[in-house]
Amino acid sequence: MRVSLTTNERQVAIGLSFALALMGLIMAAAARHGPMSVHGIMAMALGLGLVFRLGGVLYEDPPASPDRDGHYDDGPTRAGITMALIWGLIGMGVGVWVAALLYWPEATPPWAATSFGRLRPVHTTGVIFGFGGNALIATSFYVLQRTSRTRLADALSPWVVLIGFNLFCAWAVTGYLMGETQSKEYAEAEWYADLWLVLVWIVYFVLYIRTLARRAEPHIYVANWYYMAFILVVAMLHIVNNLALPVSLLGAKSFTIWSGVQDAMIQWWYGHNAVAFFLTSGFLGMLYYFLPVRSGRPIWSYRLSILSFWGITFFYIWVGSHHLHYTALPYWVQTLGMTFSVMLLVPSWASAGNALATLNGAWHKVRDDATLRFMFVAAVFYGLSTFEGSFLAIRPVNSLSHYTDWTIGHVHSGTLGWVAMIIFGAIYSLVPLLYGRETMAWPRAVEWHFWLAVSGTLIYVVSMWNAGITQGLMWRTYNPDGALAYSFLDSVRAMAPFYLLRTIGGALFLTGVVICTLNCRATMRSAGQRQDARDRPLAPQPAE
Amino acid sequence: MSHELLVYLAKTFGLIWMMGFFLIVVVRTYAPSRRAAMDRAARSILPDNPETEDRHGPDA
Repeated sequence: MRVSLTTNERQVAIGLSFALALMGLIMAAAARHGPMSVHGIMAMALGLGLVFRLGGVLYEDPPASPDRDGHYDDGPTRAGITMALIWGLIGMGVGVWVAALLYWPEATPPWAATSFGRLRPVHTTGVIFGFGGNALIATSFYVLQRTSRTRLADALSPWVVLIGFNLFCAWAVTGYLMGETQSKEYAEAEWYADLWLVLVWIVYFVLYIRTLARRAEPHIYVANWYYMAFILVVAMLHIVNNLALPVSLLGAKSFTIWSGVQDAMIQWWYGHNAVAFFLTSGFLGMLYYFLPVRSGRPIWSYRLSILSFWGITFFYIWVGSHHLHYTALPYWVQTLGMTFSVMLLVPSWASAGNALATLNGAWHKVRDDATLRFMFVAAVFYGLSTFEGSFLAIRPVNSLSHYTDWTIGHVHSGTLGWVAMIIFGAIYSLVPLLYGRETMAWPRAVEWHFWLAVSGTLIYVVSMWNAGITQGLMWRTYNPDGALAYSFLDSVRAMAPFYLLRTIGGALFLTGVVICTLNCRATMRSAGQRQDARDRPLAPQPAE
Repeated sequence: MSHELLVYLAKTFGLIWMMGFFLIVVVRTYAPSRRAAMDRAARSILPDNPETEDRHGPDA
């Protein structure tokens, strides 16, 4: 941060940090106790820390302007990757812990903060927003600059986005531990954190548009379309689902303005599109950039990538109601969601097929290069989990699968097999480039990570398929008298071996992430001076 | 808004909007005159050297 900001930008940054500290102080003082005051103190500490950090370097020599403007602005990308790895360790570590608690429930510590119900959203928020979100922000800055051949529109707002987003994540997970929640899945954070995220997200979108407007390329590469859909639609979903009235402006508790089945519909319109636009759209942007670059081959069909972009964007918006089959939601709305879910298979498989066809003819590279193999496995799991998703959305199939662990297996086939794998592929491509090295510090460790990740995912997903189908069948087995043959507790007892296997699969996956983090740390510490010859030259910048 | 009105809108405006948008996208992406531009866009992220692999795929 220090070297990339001019003196003037440092002054503005100090002003913003001071404003953050002041906001935190007001929050803490107004709320007086409870989660909101703790969060105020956190914001104040962050703001003061930044004031001191920036103040200490305020009058150091600013970077020479031509030197700075001649390079891409990769500082925020480096920091974003580090944050993604830290959140990955937290989110997946908690995930393995709560998976173990399902097998050994008697190991639950006696404090409210460590109960399953509070830790579970720490896992989901930690991996989706912390790990996935930081990886998306970091790679979007990198891809945006390379495809546009221009620097980010200004040096300050990427840091506002990154630091602001991580404050949101920290507020969210610490809030859960203190018992603060909106009770909306993937939208548990309370009203003031939601408002904060809206601000951060507007800065993100404006930065993206301003940078695109400065691009030196006539065409906007397709990866940017996916990233923009991610930013824009997530803003829309987040705002509508989190419309809420706080009980008091001085406290954390709020109530949603939606009620009854409309609340359920809005929540799953949000929830499924969090899968669509947070966990798919942005990551397809990552895939469409890093897969061609790493394999050295242009995307198999660029036209198909555009067609599937519009297909995914238009169809996904409608599918949320498949989460509410056999509920009070009107039957036709359920059918609408089911129909669009099945139609969605077409653009999804078009994307997965396009990625695999790009690799066709370069299989020797997939065999030799574990980084490219991560991306190949990601494309395969993307194809598998989108097929499974369309299938599970069909009403009679859903009657067997819903409320069982099959859903958990499906989600993790998408998040471990697709989202995390493409993140690892992008990280292993980026970290050597960003730290001036030819390769990662420990190239063999990438192989280890790959096989741990693949075997962990397979063990996890297969055990949850078995668990879910077993549960679904036990719940619908009748004896000759027409009564249920099994009690609910029987089906819980039957899960023990699957829950143990799930914990083992998750632990293998987590081990891979630990290795990845150590490998990245070693690579960052032995940064070289190598300028990447393959990096796209920055277009000459007009004087500012 | 009543259910009947929603269905009416979905079957008229909704249908024309979605199918029309789809047709515009297909025509604009698959127009033969845009083939070269699409190919250039696909290659734009790769380094400009002749060693890059041969053209492949349906856009080639």
